[in-house]
Amino acid sequence: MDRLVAVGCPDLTDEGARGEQLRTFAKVVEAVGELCPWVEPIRLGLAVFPVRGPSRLLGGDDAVVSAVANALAQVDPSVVIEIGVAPGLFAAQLAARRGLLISAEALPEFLAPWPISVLARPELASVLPRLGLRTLGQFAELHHREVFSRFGADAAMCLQVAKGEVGELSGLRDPSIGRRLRSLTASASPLPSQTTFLGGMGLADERLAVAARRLQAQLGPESVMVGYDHGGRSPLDQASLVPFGSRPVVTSHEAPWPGRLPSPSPMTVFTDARAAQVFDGEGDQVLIDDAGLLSAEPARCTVNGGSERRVINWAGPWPLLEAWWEAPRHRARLQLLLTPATAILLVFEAGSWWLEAVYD
Amino acid sequence: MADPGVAGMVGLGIDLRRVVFVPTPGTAWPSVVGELIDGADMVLVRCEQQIAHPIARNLVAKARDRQVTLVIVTSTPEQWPLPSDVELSISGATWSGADGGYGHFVSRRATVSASGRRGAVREHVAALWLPSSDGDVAVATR
Repeated sequence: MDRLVAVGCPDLTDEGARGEQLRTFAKVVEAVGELCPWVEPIRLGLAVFPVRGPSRLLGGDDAVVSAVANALAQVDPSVVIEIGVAPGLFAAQLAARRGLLISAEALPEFLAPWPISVLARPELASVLPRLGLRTLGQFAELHHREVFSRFGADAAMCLQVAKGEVGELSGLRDPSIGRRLRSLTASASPLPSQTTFLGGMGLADERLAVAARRLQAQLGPESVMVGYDHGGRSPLDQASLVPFGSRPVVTSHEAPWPGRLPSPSPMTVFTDARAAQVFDGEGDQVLIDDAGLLSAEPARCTVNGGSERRVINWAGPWPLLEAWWEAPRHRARLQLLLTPATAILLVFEAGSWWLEAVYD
Repeated sequence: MADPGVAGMVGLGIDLRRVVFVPTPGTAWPSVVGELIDGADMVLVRCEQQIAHPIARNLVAKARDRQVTLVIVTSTPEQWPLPSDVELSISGATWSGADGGYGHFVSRRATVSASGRRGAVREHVAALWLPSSDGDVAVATR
């Protein structure tokens, strides 16, 4: 479950009589998008983006939240903005209401006191309190099988959300939000045509969509993912997995990303942090200096505390010159060919190496 | 934890609009694969452990019934308990293009062997570019 920054605008949850609230919300999304290109509007008055990248760059979640708050204060100081960070969409939107930063460990504790009604399931909100279950925490103590057999698949999904096991709940996203926001900017900047998964592409796609929805009903919305190609810089940024049905899939390479890693892209991209170390022939650590140069030729490498392996060849480093957040950053990538035959991609940041991907 | 490299798939010409991923199916994975066999023309399963014989047999029977291609990816051949129509294995893969700081990974040469039953009993071994410098799959002639 990715930790997300949720940006909520409680006064902008309707379109407004003449669309004025929608236009203000579009400005908010645009301003956040200048800080983080992967901002995703969820519904009117709510947008999210993954905190991990910006947090690593800015030096913490706090710094990300204040950067967003500062940027939005300049857009329109009269708009009420709520910002929170938590794992998964459901908890993130609640964290925004309270202005809290919630770690993965603190998630169940954070969810527990909320009333059943935050699940937006009127039936559960009326039945569960009569059983003495008034909060998500009390609900979360039930067993999955019992809830499934008594209340059905949707309630079982709500239970997983209440337990903090699943981050998405159907109904949180407004499928029309992208189209509505685009309708404002359509004349200004025509976007590439987007085909949704079903997109009228025929029976085969419909059959797969039915299977995907059935799996989502059993295992939760995050169980079935589709690839989403943003055209960003790193393998992690270039493309990601988003829940099936959550947004149209775009495959566009039109954005010119300076510093983009050369093709081909790696086939396995790690989603967790894996520390690496690079040594030269003398056994000294290899670093990258402010000019983006290697301190010495890499000779050996360890990954994730594993055994030391010999570097056969390497390419790079490729410094990443980004003006994100206007904070000075020195990040660079390095491709290493190791023996036994392995090709890896490392990223160097703030004095440390991390394994980003494997070319397998 | 790792994700499939979606950008790499785009590079190989895979249309992301026609693929769904179930990265962490959990213990219910056999029924997940069963559902996917109902929905897709091809299902690729990455095995993390030894697969029990009855599960494998059910999945193969279902795939055959629906005329779906079932591709099982294992780290050792023993993880999948049934004989396959075609078995592909890869060895001696190495990337070229990186050169002492210059260039970048461009192409990968690998030895691929194919064996199996029915029409594929004779083993074939070939050196392939996976991918070639053009981003395609090609026979390595040199």
